[in-house]
Amino acid sequence: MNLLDTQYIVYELANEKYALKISDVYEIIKMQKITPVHNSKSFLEGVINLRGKIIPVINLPKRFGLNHYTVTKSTRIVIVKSRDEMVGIIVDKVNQVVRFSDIQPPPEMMAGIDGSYFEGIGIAGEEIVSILKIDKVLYE
Amino acid sequence: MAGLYDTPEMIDAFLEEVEEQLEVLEQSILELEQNGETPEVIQKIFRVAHTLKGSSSAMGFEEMKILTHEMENVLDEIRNHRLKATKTVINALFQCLDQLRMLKQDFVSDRNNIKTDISSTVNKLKEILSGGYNQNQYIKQDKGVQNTEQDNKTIEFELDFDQRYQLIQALKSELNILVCKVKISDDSLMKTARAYLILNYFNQMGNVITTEPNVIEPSDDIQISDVYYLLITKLDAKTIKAKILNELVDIDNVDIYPYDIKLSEQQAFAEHREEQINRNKISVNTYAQKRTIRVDVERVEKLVDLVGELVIEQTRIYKVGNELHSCYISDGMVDELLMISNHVSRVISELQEGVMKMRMLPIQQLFNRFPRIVRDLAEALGKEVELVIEGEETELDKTIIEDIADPLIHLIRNAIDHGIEPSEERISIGKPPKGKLIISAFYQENHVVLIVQDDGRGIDVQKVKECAIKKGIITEKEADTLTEQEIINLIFHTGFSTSQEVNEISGRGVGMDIVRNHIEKLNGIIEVETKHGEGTKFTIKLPLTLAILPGLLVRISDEVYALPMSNVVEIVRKPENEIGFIKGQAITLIREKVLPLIWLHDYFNIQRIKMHHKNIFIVVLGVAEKRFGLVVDELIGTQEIVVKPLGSYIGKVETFSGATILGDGSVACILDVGGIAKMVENNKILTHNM
Repeated sequence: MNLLDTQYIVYELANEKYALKISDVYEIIKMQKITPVHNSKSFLEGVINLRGKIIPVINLPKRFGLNHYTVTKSTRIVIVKSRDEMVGIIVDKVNQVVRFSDIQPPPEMMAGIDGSYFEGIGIAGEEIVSILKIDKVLYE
Repeated sequence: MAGLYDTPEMIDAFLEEVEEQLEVLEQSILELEQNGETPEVIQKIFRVAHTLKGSSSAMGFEEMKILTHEMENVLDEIRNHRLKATKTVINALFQCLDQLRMLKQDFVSDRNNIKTDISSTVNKLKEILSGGYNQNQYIKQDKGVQNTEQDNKTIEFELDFDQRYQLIQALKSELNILVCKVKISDDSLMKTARAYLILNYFNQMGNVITTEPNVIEPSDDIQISDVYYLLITKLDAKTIKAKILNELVDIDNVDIYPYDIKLSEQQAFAEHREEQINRNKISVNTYAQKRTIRVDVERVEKLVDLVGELVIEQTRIYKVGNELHSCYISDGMVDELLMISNHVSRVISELQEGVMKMRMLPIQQLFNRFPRIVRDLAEALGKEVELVIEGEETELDKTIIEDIADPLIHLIRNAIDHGIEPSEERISIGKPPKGKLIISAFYQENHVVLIVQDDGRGIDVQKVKECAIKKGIITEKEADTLTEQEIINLIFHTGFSTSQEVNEISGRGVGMDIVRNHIEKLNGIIEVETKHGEGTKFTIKLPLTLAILPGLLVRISDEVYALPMSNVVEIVRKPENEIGFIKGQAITLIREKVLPLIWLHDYFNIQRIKMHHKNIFIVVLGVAEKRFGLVVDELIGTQEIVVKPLGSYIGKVETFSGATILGDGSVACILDVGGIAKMVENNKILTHNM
């Protein structure tokens, strides 16, 4: 599959732009009350109720060891489907759906985050967006 | 006759019956092997063979008929004490059982192409028969005499479906079922004709189901003297006897007694047969309700999920209704809404119960497979094993029963292969020669506990350690820091097996980790207790994953948690100054018992709330023999909680058994009381070390 043909969803987190393959994204919902699950994964924010299903929600900045997020009106939970499990990711803002004109391999480090978490760097016009390897981010 | 029973429904019924009978057969043979020969057990096996013979011949299933017929012959000899149920006989019976299973399989796949060769088994049975008694012919002749000498009630009629159905019907309408034994005078000239006349005579008084020997189509060489008529009638035995003696000639003696219809066996059989036959009789279009239907588990699962949703939504409706009520107290519509809501919740709880029951099965159906497995294994390994099964009535979710089968069988294999020693070895170390294997099931709170315990060698910790180091699972350095229990738990590690060689009984080191995986998948826990030289005990604890259970909602800081009511011993309020400390552990006295107190706040890293009032709420929780007090900030109330798994992404968290959705749509974690107790214990050990 040609990566350039794929559509991506671009979102913002701590003023950085990230992208996820649209096929990985199941749904985007508004921020809601998250019930903490203590003594689990450190970056697990908790669980939410998505139409009767319990869905874990992770805190990406915490995952990467970055600053804490603050909830605003535009905060969203992006529900991704990975390994047959639905997982929510908190983002500051969901921007748009794009196709990249070029995708370059990721550098070793990117904004203080290990480069192996990224599929690559997508370029669409003026914008430069890091594309997340969702499986790795969630599971490793 | 075969044509009549060729409909798919009849074939299904036939197969079901065969399956049932084979299960009885297996149990009985095992019983025979274990407890030796008793008239009851022989009779049981005989009856199975007999029933199978009857129904297979009705289905035109020749192979099964022949085999069961031979079985019957052998069993008849045993029954009449002319043959002993030796090891050879028992093994032959097991062989028959296996062949019958195969025959059934063949029948299912293609009834016109039966591949199983029964000849060797049939020959074996014949051999046994001729070994026990040389003149087959003689026995046959002897049979009639034997029967008359013996208790009359041993007469067995060969009944087909229709005849049995008639018997059951008769039983239901409370008619008498009588065996009329008529001895026709020796000097009567045409005995066969006489017998036929008697049959007609009986038919006037009632309905003759069958006769022994067959007088309607008598074979030429038949020598009739005693004729048995199986009669359904309104009259009682005495009246008939008197009538016969008065009105018939050429009769020496009449003996009439009720037919011993084996109720327990017949009932189950009869009920579904009844439906089968009803259906045949009524019409093709009206399908009568079947007694059992097979349903895809997924469909049931879907229902359970939906009922779970309903329960949640109902609590929400109830909540909204109550809020409306407090806003519009005098509004009749709101009252009506509340009434409807109440009714709906009653219906839902009934629905819930029904759906849950649909999934529950006694674990017996799994346990029933074990005696045979144990027997075969013990046989193959030349060991003596006594199997004790307990709690087979314990009901649990069907999917769990299915998923736990493999791990259990694996543990059993291990116990017999590695655990239990050969008899000589056992004797030399002063153990009874027969090894003991206990498999039991019981409920503990909302869990089902399964135990596989043997009194064999136990696990050699040193050997496990060496093996783990050799296989590179742990380094020598690591090995020294591990506790004994931790080392034993290494057996669950992938690629671990202490058995020197690979054999067909206990695999090749993929064993225990598969057991572990299965159990983890079920969100269960497995524990090993072992003592070198004394045996090993595996305890498997399975949660009732899909259960809907009563729960207590509590608030800890600003978070809401659910506790299974079954863990709640009591709820007390205590002034803060009644809390003492022992070695840093908060305790309090409740009913003169010292209880450790736990603030989950500390474990969850959240702030303890400063109380405005002096009293604190303590929920006394119990798990197994442990009791402790959980300090909560608020008691919210009780509610049916629908247990939902936290999912594989989060995995197993010690303190939580799942989550549930509350009336307001938010999620609350369900506290796992056993897990909390463990966590607290571990923490204690840590502080001790420090």
